[in-house]
Amino acid sequence: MVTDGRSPLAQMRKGLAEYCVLALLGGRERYGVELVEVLSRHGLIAGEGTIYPLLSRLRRQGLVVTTWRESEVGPPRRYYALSADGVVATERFARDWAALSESVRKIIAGEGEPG
Amino acid sequence: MSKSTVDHPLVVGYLDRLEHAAAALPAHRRAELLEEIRAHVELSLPGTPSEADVRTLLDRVGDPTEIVAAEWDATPPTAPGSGVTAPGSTGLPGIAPGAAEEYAAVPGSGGEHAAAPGSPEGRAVASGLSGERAGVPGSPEGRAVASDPGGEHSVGPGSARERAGASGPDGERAAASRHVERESLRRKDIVGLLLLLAGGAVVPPVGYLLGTALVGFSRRWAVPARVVLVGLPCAAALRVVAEWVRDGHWYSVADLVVDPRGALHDFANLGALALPYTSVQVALLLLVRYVGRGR
Repeated sequence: MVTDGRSPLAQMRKGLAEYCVLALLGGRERYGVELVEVLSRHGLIAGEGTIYPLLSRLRRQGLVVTTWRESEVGPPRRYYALSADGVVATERFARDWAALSESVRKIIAGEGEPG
Repeated sequence: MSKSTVDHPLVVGYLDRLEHAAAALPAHRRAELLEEIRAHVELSLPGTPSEADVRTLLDRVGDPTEIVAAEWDATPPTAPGSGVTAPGSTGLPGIAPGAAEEYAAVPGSGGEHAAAPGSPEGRAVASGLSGERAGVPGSPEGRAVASDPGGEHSVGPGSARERAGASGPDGERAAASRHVERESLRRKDIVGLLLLLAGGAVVPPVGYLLGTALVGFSRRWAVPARVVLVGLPCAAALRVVAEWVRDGHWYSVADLVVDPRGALHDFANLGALALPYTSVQVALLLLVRYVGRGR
């Protein structure tokens, strides 16, 4: 799983986790525990509890909106969904990430420089 | 109903430690975070968990200090020279904590959109709402500004600064300032801009001076921008006012009492007179932020 929170790789994961949350919310609205399950499975989050500071930040930035729903079992759940700004941010990130990851892939594969 | 899993002594102890670790967070955010973690534990634990279940879950939830540290992660994505990200050439402005802000399209669009059905969480959110309204945003920078109207405070707690990387304190400070400049405008900043715009008509020169103070001390603008676009115009305005006072053209408090309607009329005239200048000022202030965000 994620190890030292200060290593460059851990920092990258943390930053990417924000966009992965936005991308997950692009599919449908979800509550915190659901998001944590997916992110943990993919090793994108260290402590499950750190999702809430992340979600709080996305809320403050206006990228996600929340609604409370009563649950048949357990406490009411706070559901998160993308705002209009969140949709734009997610789309933009998807484009930028495709370009960046392709660039990194090329450089790692030794195709970074012209012939 | 049976006792909730969150009443388990291990959970109670954990939440206590979290509350203690979160002492430096704004009160509304601390309460909200505690409720979020409490609900997370309640949702994740089976009905009658064994002690081992509880320990495993709390382990997964993470150390309280780690969770609180994540609250401060809105600090600069990377300090200069730490080499974690390479923004610019790819158009990806930084993959690191807080980077999503770069993508927030509309300044000042943040805020809570929650409606809570009579739950404790609901109360926490409600207090969060009023907190936001009172201009106490949850970010460490926000706190620094809120507790220091001078605004030249460095970023929040030591832990956040330590994470900023190996560069010197000046580098961190500069990176932190740039980061804050890119954050969305707060209500305070918007009010400041409006007062600058219409300040000539709002009990001159009080409204304009208040706008000058709000924007002049806001870290949402770089220092040079504030000196040139806030300090200099204010000096010019005060000079004009001083001349009018000297020539006996300025109103007195007595005018307000004797002829309030006439005084208000004069205020409106002054506001209209100043508007061409103040609108250029405000437009430039918005423009430098727009240009700054593109860096």
